[in-house]
Amino acid sequence: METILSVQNLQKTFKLSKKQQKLEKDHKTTKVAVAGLDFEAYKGEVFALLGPNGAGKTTTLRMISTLIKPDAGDCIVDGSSIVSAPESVRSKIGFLTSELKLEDFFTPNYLYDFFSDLHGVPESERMARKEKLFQTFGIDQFAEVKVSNLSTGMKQKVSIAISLVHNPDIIIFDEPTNGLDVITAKTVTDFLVSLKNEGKTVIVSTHIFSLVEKLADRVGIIINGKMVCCDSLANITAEKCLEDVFFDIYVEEVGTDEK
Amino acid sequence: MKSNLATIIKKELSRFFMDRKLLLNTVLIPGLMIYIIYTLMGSVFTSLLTTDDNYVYKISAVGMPQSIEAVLKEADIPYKEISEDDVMAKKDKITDGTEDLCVVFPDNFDSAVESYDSQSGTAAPEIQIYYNSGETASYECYQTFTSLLDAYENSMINKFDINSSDKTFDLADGSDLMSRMMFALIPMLFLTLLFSGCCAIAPDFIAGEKERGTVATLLVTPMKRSSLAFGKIISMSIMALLSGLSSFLGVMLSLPKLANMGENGNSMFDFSGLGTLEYVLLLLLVLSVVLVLVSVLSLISAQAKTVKEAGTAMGPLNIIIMVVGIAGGYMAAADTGIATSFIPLYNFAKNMTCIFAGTPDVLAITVTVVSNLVYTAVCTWGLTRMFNSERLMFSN
Ligand SMILES: Nc1ncnc2c1ncn2[C@@H]1O[C@H](COP(=O)(O)OP(=O)(O)O)[C@@H](O)[C@H]1O
Ligand SMILES: [Mg+2]
Repeated sequence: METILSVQNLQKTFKLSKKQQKLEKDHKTTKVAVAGLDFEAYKGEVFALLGPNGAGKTTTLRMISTLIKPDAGDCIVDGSSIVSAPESVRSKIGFLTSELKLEDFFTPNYLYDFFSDLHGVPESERMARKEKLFQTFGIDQFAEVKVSNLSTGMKQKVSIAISLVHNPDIIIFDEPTNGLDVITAKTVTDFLVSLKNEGKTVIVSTHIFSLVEKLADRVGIIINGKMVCCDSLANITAEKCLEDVFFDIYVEEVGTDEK
Repeated sequence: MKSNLATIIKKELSRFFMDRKLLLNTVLIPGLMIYIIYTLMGSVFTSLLTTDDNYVYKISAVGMPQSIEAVLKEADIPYKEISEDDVMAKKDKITDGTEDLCVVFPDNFDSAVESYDSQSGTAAPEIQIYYNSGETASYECYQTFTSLLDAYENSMINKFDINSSDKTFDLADGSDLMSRMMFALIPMLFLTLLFSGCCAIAPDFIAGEKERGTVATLLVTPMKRSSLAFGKIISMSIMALLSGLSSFLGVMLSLPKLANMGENGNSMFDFSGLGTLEYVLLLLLVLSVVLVLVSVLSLISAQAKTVKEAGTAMGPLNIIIMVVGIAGGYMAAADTGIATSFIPLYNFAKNMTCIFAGTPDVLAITVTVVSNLVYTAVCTWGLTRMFNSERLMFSN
């Protein structure tokens, strides 16, 4: 299988603000969010980063998407390094999260064209792709409505469409169903499946077992910034269900009396 | 592929032009406010500075000859004959504005004029007229009187002179202080107006995008951070300029009303001395100071977490701008060196005042424009770094 994304010893430690320090045990001034992560994603698969809140999933995906810089390590995305060629990486990936917001003042149509311009999508490819994405997410009848007047779910769907204007081969999605109503969540998961069927590589992070079971080809379990298990979903769930496997590992790593 | 810079600017501007409230606050209101304030100011000053039609000039004369007496009688202008010893006292009265004119004729004026030979090369008989250009009535009176004398002189072959000797006849005591004061205030007014226009835009411009999470959406595109920084600064400069233009139009349209008050010679806002070069220099000064203001405000906006925080941080700047603007305006005449033209804002105020005063220093203006461009470049570089800074852009 062809490796399209390879994470090598990725590390990130945050300096904590005074306020954040108070919330930490023994008032540490720094927080290790990602502690030397290694994994690979293969072309055309769905790779799921599974972990509890605070495990370092978002930090990892932000580093891969070049929004923040790693302290050490690297990630090679389709031949480009996130450290030395961040702009090239950004043109190859689509990064989606519920944190990416759209400017209220514009319409989906305008924003789609705006981001197409920023991504340098040729005019010839633009229309057909816009039509397809807008249709998939039911945006077409809202194409000329200002974002401020759209529902939260619709905003989320527009935001997804706009992150994919450049038809990237690698899609990175942080907590894809977070904050979505069940119907929108279903549309989004179905869309991720269809992306995989188109041959795209999809990397998702989540703490939801069912989502992993439904989507993933391979799973990386991440706890306290470390990869504690990385294998195909089939192998991991050969004997026990995913949830049980996860908790066995969790107890082993952190202990039960963790408060 | 279209340039990302153009894309960013286009988006920011369409946002600006579609937002009616923002347009109102930044473009329409400042111009309108200035127009109204200046027009009101103009009419108040005009009424203060013009004499009413029934006013009788207070003129005193020493040795009034028959010929001129006849002229005055015809023009219905009364006067009081005084002795030469009283002239000093009259001069004081003219200075403090209680009397308007004191005319001193040479002894035997009429016969002296008659016997004067303009070919002889000796000085013509001289009429000395004391007046006060700072007092509307006195100055008007002086002009009326001299034009009567001129008309009379034209009717004669032999000549006489008015105020040809080396004395001070204008007894005004720094009456043009006010006009100088107004000149010195223009740059400060201009800066504060520009600034208040910017303040309607700047806090939201970057801090707002951070607060709403829209900046992250931009940062995941392959666009260069420097394009974003440049795009933001340029589009905000265009908006600030529009706002400044509106203020400028407000000033220009109300100027005729302001200029009224200085009609009598010591015109307060006389822009007739400004040629093409001066206007070009003014334009360069304005453009470069807008860039400096906007880029500093962008930095403040980028370091703030919220719109509110950005707005609060910009507040104190208003005072600095006023103080520096006034200082520049007042120091303009005394400060002739080049060195101070490196000081942002001050350099603008100083050189703008010099242009209005008719003494533009091209070298100082060049230094001003170039150093302002350098400051803008430094700020743009700083803003690029800030867009790259995860601490500033993604502090959660
Ligand atoms: N900008 C930041 N400053 C300080 N600490 C951070 C920052 N971002 C994340 N963290 C900390 O790093 C750890 C990992 O966070 P995150 O990657 O968001 O976890 P996850 O997405 O798996 O829930 C958490 O303890 C979080 O508090
Ligand atoms: Mg997260």
